[in-house]
Amino acid sequence: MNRNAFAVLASVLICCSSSSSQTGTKSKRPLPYEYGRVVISNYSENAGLAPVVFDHWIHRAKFTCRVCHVDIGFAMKAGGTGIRAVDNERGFYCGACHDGKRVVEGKVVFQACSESVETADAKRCVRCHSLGKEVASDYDFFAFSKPLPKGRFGNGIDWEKAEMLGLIKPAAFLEGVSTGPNAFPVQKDFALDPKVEGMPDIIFSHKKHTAWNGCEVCHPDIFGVKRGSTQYTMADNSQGKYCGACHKTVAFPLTDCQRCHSKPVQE
Amino acid sequence: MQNRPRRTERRCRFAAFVCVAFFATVSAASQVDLPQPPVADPSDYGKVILHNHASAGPGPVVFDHWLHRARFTCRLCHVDIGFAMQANATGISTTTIRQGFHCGACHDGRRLFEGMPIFAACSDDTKGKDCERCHSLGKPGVRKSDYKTFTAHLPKDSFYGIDWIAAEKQGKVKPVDFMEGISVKSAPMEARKDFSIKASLAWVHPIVFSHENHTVWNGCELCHPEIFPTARKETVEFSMFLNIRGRYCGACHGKVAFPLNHCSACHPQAPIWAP
Amino acid sequence: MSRLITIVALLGAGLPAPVGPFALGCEAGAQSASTQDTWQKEFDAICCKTQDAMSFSEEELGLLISGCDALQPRMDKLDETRKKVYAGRLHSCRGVYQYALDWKRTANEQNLSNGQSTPAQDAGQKELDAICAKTQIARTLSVEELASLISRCDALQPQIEKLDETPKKLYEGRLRTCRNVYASMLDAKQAEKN
Repeated sequence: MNRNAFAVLASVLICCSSSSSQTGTKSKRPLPYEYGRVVISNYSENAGLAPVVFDHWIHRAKFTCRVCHVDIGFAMKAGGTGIRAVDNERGFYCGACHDGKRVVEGKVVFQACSESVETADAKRCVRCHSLGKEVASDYDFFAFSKPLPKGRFGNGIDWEKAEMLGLIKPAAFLEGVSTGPNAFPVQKDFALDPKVEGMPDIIFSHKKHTAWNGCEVCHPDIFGVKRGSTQYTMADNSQGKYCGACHKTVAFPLTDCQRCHSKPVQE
Repeated sequence: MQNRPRRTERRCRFAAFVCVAFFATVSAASQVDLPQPPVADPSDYGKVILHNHASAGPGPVVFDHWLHRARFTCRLCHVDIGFAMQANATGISTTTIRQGFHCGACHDGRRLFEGMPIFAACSDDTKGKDCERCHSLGKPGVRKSDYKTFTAHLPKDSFYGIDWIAAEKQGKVKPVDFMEGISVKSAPMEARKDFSIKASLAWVHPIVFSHENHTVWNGCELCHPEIFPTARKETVEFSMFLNIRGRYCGACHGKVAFPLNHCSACHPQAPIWAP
Repeated sequence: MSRLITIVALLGAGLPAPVGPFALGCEAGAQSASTQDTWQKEFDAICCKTQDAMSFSEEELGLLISGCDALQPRMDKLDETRKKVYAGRLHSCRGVYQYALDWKRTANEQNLSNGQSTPAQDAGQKELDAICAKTQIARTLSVEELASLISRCDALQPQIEKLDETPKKLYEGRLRTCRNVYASMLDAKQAEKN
């Protein structure tokens, strides 16, 4: 090999060794009330407001994933929707519920964004535009989560069991927003071969997923048609693709192995 | 090969040298410091200094791994309680401790260990008398546990420090893996057998990896899927360069578990002159 | 054929077709607070049945997809906010219909069943669904009812063990989960009594 080629090869090797792939390190576990937190800062700072902090835990107890991510149309990535104050004022996105009129569980939902803002409204603005601020919330996480079944990771709540037991009843239909009745026929459950020797098979439950997501959240954007045609690995999931689209930051995280790799289980 | 004019050849060599020098500099400057050889005193190995908030008040916290790993598994703290694997990355504060998270998960003044309550961290009630048990940087003589006394009965590693694996196998340490109110039981999974990893450089002896030795301390979740995700049937490819930079094996081996320059611990057929 | 003609006529008129097993579309249930323009009515008519996508025929799905495609260029008439919102919703809606159509075509090519199963599996699944449908109201069930559900779970167990490997794998886990829910509720109620 001549010297020039060797120099190029050496520089490539050194460059590769400093690559910033996302695997190989462990991130800290977010606190139970921080898990599922989304910070949205498309336009807030330009408008002189702190970025918005959205907590999934309080919303997912009241609504299915589908209502927000399909009917209302929120993106599945922070900042991906491009919500503006005028959108909210027109009754879309956050404004679909946060309009100062809609009643949820007997309470009027506070209005998000308004055309004219007075000093007295500042308290209302910081309920969402709260990054870096100490803002009292109507809902206390500890009181909220105490009666719910415990989960290993994430919010420390077993959401699936909570819904099965009827302790939470997430609404699947939003008046004035959802387009039709939402009784989803259940597709069959199926098993996935993990391809790693010794790992239990993954049992995928359509029933458990459609209860929260309907069809559109996953199909066809995340999972294609032909079972077996969508080849993916845990490395892909860890990067937020496929199962990781939800099971990285909002649904139970990927560290809860046995929730998916559940058969056979060695007792 | 075609003869090139001398000037062009000199320019090519110069350009190649600039490229290599540039990338080497950027690489060195942007990454984690290369680990130093083990410090002279094993009592300092695994010491973590936490200085996010404390510099204004009681001073930085000194956390000694040896004291905790003799009593608890790595998994309990780094998975169930959720400490980060890098200093100052967890975001521990008086608020989180008093809410019962992080250090406060155990250090709450009520939880019993070996029949005695564990002292409360960041508590107003103790009137500051327990602060220095953690906020002890630069304050000699305030710590209650001494490394030499504590580890006197533990087997020593041939290369450096304590042989924690032997200590656990001999029953000299019995690390607790479950904490009431924090841990949630899950169905056990079959641990994979030991296997061999071929090194990518032909002259390096293969690595023998023991899942059993690792799962005793880490369970599955500490390493999988974040540190070692699988891509098809094997984990993603990585190298010693990345280990040295604190990724993959280097997430633990270099800071807390036995250091990476203990070659024969992973490469058992390494020549006798390798440590 | 007549069903198709009905659908084409109704969708073409921009009105929702009646609800029922013999028609696509549904009532314009989305009485949104904002202005109900023609575009939105058509959108509601086409996209309100995504949950039944798998039950439509290939022709019906083709029609719905064409309906979505016809709506796309007309989105320019919407204001900026609605364009943003409905771009995503139309994409999801069309996506589901396309997905269902592709699935059916693939299934036909490969003679895959859309859930064909043996009679034994069907009977087992019916019983499983019947037993496990009450987990949401487990708290309100009496001790006797819980005990009876648990015995039904136990009686179903050997039937499930006789099934083929894949359905057995699936149903065993579900049965165990729902039995555990009833058993833990029963324990809690018995402890309360004592």
